[in-house]
This record gives sequence, C-alpha cells and structure tokens, in this order.
Amino acid sequence: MVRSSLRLPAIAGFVAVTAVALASCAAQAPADGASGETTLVVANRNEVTTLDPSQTSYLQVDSAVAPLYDTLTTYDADGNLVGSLASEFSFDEDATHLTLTLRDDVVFHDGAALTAADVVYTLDRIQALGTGIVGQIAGYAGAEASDEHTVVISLDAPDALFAAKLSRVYIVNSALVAEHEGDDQAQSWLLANDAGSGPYSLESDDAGTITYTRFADYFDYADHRAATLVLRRIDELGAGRDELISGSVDAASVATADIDTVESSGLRVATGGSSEAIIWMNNSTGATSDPAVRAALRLAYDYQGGLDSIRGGVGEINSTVLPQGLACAADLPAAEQDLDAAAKILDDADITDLELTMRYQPAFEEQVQEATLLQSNLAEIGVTLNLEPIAFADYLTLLTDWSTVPELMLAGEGLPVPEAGVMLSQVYDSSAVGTNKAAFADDEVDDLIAELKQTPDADDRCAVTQEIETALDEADAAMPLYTIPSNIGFSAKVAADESAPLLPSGQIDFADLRVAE
Amino acid sequence: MLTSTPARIAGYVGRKVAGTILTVLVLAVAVFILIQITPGDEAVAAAGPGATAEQIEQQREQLGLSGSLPQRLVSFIGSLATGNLGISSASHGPVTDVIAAAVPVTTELVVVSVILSVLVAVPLAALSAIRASGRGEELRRFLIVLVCGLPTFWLAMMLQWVLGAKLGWFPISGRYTIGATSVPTITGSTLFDAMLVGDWSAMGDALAHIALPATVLSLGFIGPAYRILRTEFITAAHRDFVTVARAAGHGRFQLLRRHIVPHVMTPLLILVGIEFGSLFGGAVLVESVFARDGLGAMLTNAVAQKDSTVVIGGVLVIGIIVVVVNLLVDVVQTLRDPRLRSAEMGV
Repeated sequence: MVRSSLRLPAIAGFVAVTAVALASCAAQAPADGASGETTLVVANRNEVTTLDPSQTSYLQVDSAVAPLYDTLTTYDADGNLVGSLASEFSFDEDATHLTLTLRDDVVFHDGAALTAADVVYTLDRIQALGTGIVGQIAGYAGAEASDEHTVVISLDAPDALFAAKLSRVYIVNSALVAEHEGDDQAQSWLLANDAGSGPYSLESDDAGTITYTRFADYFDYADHRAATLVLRRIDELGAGRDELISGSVDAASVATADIDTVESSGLRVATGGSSEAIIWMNNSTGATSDPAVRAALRLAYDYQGGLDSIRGGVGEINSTVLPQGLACAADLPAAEQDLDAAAKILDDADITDLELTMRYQPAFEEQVQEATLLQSNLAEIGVTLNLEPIAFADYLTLLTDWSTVPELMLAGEGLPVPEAGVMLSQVYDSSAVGTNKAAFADDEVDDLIAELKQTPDADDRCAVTQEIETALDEADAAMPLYTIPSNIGFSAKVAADESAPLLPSGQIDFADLRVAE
Repeated sequence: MLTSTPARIAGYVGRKVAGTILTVLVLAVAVFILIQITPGDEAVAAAGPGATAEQIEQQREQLGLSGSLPQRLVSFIGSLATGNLGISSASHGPVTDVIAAAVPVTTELVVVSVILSVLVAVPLAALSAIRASGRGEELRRFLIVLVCGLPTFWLAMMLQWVLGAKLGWFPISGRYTIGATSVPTITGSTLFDAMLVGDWSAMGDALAHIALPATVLSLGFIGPAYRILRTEFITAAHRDFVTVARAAGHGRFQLLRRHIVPHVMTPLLILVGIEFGSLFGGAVLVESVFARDGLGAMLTNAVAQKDSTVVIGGVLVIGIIVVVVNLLVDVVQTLRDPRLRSAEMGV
C-alpha cells in the first residue's frame, strides 16, 4: 500500500532527474564549429532592433552593423581622422564641398565592386528616410559621382566637420538594396539582410543571436579576425560575467564591482571607450536659467565621493564639458565640491527656498545613486531637489522645445565621433533644437561654432574648440561629472595584448578583436 | 425544436468563440487608447536625435501617428482585421515580424514551465493528501513556502552563479549552445524544432538551456497550485464515492488513479489555464536575466524605446493567447463535466 502511494512522485522525480542529466550532458557540447576555426562569442547588451545601417544613431545597432559595413572615413588608434573606403578626401576653400576618392579594391559581399554611385545612393537614402543617422548628416545638400571612384558632396553651409561625421555613415551596395527597395526603401529587407563590404558577412540573425562569417575578399583582410563572430544578446551584466567565467562567451562588459571576480578567474579585463556622466541644465527656462543657480549647482556636487563610491574609483573627474582624454581639451581645473562657495553664490544673488527637479533614468543604478548624492549635497545648502524618473525616448521628445527641456537631467553621454567640434556644434549651437540638451544660446559661442565649421585644418580647429570649451565653462552651461571608461572582459581566445578596439561612436569594435595565436 | 448533440456542441463553441473575439476587440481598443494617451511623441523618438521638424513630421505620417485619436483608432482596427499590426518605430519593419520572432521563444519557456510546475505540484499535493499530517508534511509545506517565496530575480542570479558558473551543470543563459548544433527553423522554438526533426542532441541542449529559466518561472506557480490541489485532493479523498471504493477494497494508488485524480482534473485544468496566461506576462524578468529574446524582452525594449506599435502588438498577442487558452479550457472542461455540459449545452 505504502509502496504504491509513492509511485507517482517517484516517477515524476525520475523524469526530472533524467531530464536534468540529459540536459547537463548536452550542455557540454563544444562551442567551436566543426571547421576547427575560431569562433568568438560576444555578449551584447540590449536589443538590436535592425541591421539597417541607416539606423545606427542607436548605438546597439551601430555595434551590430559595424562588422558588416564600412564607412568612408574613420579614426586611427591615435584619434586622427583617416580614410577608410575613401583613400583621400578634401574640402574646398569655403568647406561647402567635400571631394572623396574611393579605394579601387573594395568589393561588397556579393562580389560587386564599390563605386561612387553606392556613396551617392547611401547618402540620398538616409536623407529620404529622414530617420536614424540622418541627424548626423545635417547640412547634406546632395552628392555627385564625378567618375567611378570620385564623389563630390555638397553642403547647405560650410561644415569642415562633415568628413568626421561620415565616420558614422555606412555605405550600402546600391544595386542590391535597390533590388529590394519595395515600398519602404528596403528597410524591411535590411532588418535581417546584409548589403555591405565589411570584414564580416551576415550568416544568420536569430532572435537575439547574430552570427557573422569572416569575408575572404575584404580589402583589409586579416587572419587575426575570428572565422565566425557571434553577437549574443545578454542584457544583465551578472549573466554576462558568469558566461564569461564559464567560457561560453569571449568578450563581455564587466561592472567595475566585478573586475576582481573576473580577473581572479584567470580572465583579463581591459578598458575601452568612454562616456561622461553629466547633468544638463536648462539655460533658457526656469530656475536654472539664472547663472548664479547653475554656478552654485556645479560647486555643490561631491565629485570625488561620487567617483569613488558610485563608480568604484574608475574614471576621471571632468574639467570641461567634453569627456576627458580628447585631443584639443582646454586647460581648465577639474570640477571640485565647495559647499561654502555654492551657498555664498546663492546668498549673494538673494536666492532662497530654491526647489529644483532633476530627471534621471532609474534603469541605471549608478544614476539613482548619483541623483541621491546630489539631492543630499544640495540639502546641505538649503536647496530642495526633487527626483523624477524618465525613459530616454521620452527625454528625446522633451528636447524639441526649449520650454520643455528638463530643468536638470542626469545622463550618460558618449561622443558621436571622437571629434570635439562635432559634439560642441550639435549640443551648444543655438540653432540645434533637438540636440541642444542645455537649451543653450549664446552669440559668442554661435560665432565660434561657425568659425569651427569653416576651418578645414584640424590643428587650426583645436584653438577654436578650446575657446568654446572655456566660454561654456564660464557660462556654467552644463555640469559634467566624470568620464567613465567601459570595462570589457576577454577570454583566453582573444589576443592577450588586445586593448579593445573602438568604433568612432566609442562602442567596442568587435569585428577588430584579434584572436590569440 | 430538437437539435442534435453535435449541433449543440457546435453552437456552444461558436458562442464561446464569438465571446472571445469580442474580448480581443475590447482589449485591442483599450490597449490602443491607453498607449496613445501616454505622454511623449513617438515620431521624435523614431526620427532620431538631431532630426529636423520636417523629418519628424515625415515619421509621424509614415507611422500613422497623424490624425485625431478616433481616426487613428478606426485605422488601427481596420489594419488589425487584415492582420497588419503596423510598423515598428524602432526597427522600421513590420511589427508582425518582430512578434513572430519572439512568440515561439516565450511559448517554449511557458510550456516547459507549465509542465514542470504540474509535474512538481500534483505529486506533492497528492502525497500531502495521502499523508496530511506528520513531520514530513510540515517539512514539505515549509520548503514549498520557502522556495516559492524567494524573490525571482535573486533566485535566478543565484542559480546562474551556483549551478551555471560555479558547478557548470547548466548553461547560464541563452537558448542553445553556439555552434554546437544547427536545427532547421520550423516553429522558431529551438526545443520544438529539435523534437520535430528528431535531433535529440539539439533537444537535450535546448532542454539544458531552458531548465533554469523554466524552474525560476514555474516556482511562482508551484506554491499556490500545491495548496489548491492539496485541498482538492483531501476533499476528494473524503467524498462518499471514495469511501465506497475504499470499502470495496481498492488500494491507495487505485483510489488515487481511478477516483481522486479525475476529480482533481477540473481545478487542475483551470489552474493551468490561469498559469499559462500569467506566465506569458510574467516571463519578462526571467527572459531578461536568462538572455532569451522572447515577448518579455521585446516588450521591455519597446517600452524603453517608446515603440508603441510593438507594445500594442505584444500586449495584444499575449491577451489573445490568454483568452484562447481560457476558451480551450472552458470548452474541454464543459465537454468532460456532465453537469457543465448539461447546463451549457443541454446535452
């Protein structure tokens, strides 16, 4: 009697144990393909919504598209703008026409040769779509193919920074895309198909896992690239760390707090890229339009405490509105907390009972802590700070009208390209509604930005850039906190001297990871 | 007028299906209106940073965001009738494609979770009914409350760390081992596709990957299901027909199999129907932690990107799955229960 009563749970237990045993055996399967050539698996955070290269304003798309496509220009390891698909490029005297000479040894993945027509088609397509990376080519008036390998781009107004902006524009195979244009200019087709000339071609795109195959006819072919590259979506940093330690992935973002854990497992952590934590202040509307308020706020935050306790001491306190480490940085002192000075500024300006509201993104734990830290710092000088969460997409909609730009907004910002002038012109030009996150308007800065755009020589632009940075600092236009690098953990399959190659957007360039010999 | 039994059954099913369609329609309208009245301008997000006013307006037109709310609602219902859920403002591709890729991933997780929870909850409840007192029962109840009461997120991370990273017994995340196998895509679910083509190695691999997320997802259901089923088992064990059967010399297992389990099937079916729906909604966190690109992960991303067409489509699909499963449970329950059959169909 007793024996029979136990049979049902016993059967269930047997099924469960058998399933677990079967499952565990299967989990030991090798990660490399049958060919024996190396496969690198990279953990990628957040969804890649499309592989259409016109949508690379979304950085996750940029990372996923980069192995498939090439740009006309790019940045070398020293941060110099150099040609990529373009062997040469130059502006005319007034920086309204950019002439590019294309390499003659580039072929797309279907074997078609790159021509000037592909460049014209790509730029016209982005312009016509009016979405994604289109903001990056603002001022584009048209392009003309002078011959098979020469393109002349015309601009609405002088813009010597346009060549830098092209380092984010991926060139498509015009014949192939035109073949699949449909009624949406091939957006549906390019969701999961490839029309590029990059170091990898697309093998498959399967619900969060993108597989690339090394392209044998790539103009800059190198054996050190993995034969197969896989981007796996893993949102959680903890899961990425565990996969790295278990050997299932070869590269993954690592939280600063986890660096010791990863390194103690015999893995290597390198740093790459950088973004700045910054508090944007609305310079034109509300309490923060008062320069005294902005100046007091900049003196109130505990920069060193925030960097040490919230960011684990990894990073550098900002001295200018731009991320640290950029060429042409103005020589300004690093930000420092001085609560007495902050209180005095408010007293001198007869500002009492000040109440401010700051928006932040609660999805980022560091932002929650930084917002709370500022709230606590401001309370010490009698200022009330209310905190309101906001999603990034909603934040973007507030930027279209300066009256709705948040009074204070805590954000993480990366440079669109490693060229100071591009960020300065997109954020602080009074005509740049939609990207002017500080609602900032100043005639002197506008004039300097105009001068910047008319100066094709990079060295000459440096002096202008520094003037702008100094003017913004004096105006307390924004409240940069610190510059934070990304930590990337690598398995032993990645070359030991690998320092994390970067895309112009500051994202890790996984296509250029070198495989260990 | 006398009607044949098949006709009555068909009439009953027809009424249920009509009710289901109406429910889906009301759900569609409610979800559409709720999404539309949330603040923010989707066209701005779709156009991207630095877009001009003209480009934003261009996006508004293309995404069908221009016009009044009633106009857009009519257009939305019209599109829905043809199976067109619109264009995603994030990917700029058809929403149906985005959802079609995500549904099989979540479905396999939910199906395995339901099976797992039934396999655990039913035997445990039966055992508790047979041995309703004593230390063993106290220990069982204590463990059920303890394990099922653990925070899902914490438990998921712990399982990943201990069973995945430290012991290496299970894969930590994902749906299959990269490069280990290649199963042709039939349904979009690696597990089901491997079963369909008879690739047992791939099936084992998929099972290994689904074991931890399914365990975490099912735990939230096992506790309540155990309690309800235990009560049902005990109630059934004390019914007259069981007493008569026991007096007739039926053994415990025989009693359980022939008399008690069939009696518990009705509440079990209802529970499974409820669980199926709630697990689709509850898979968001589990999918995120275990890196499975299903409906949950899709909706999380769509909300963050203000991709309202995908949000509406995703919520609708989950809603449709819930009402269809409930419809099936209703119909099966009515057909197998003579009392319900008589009340609903008169047969």
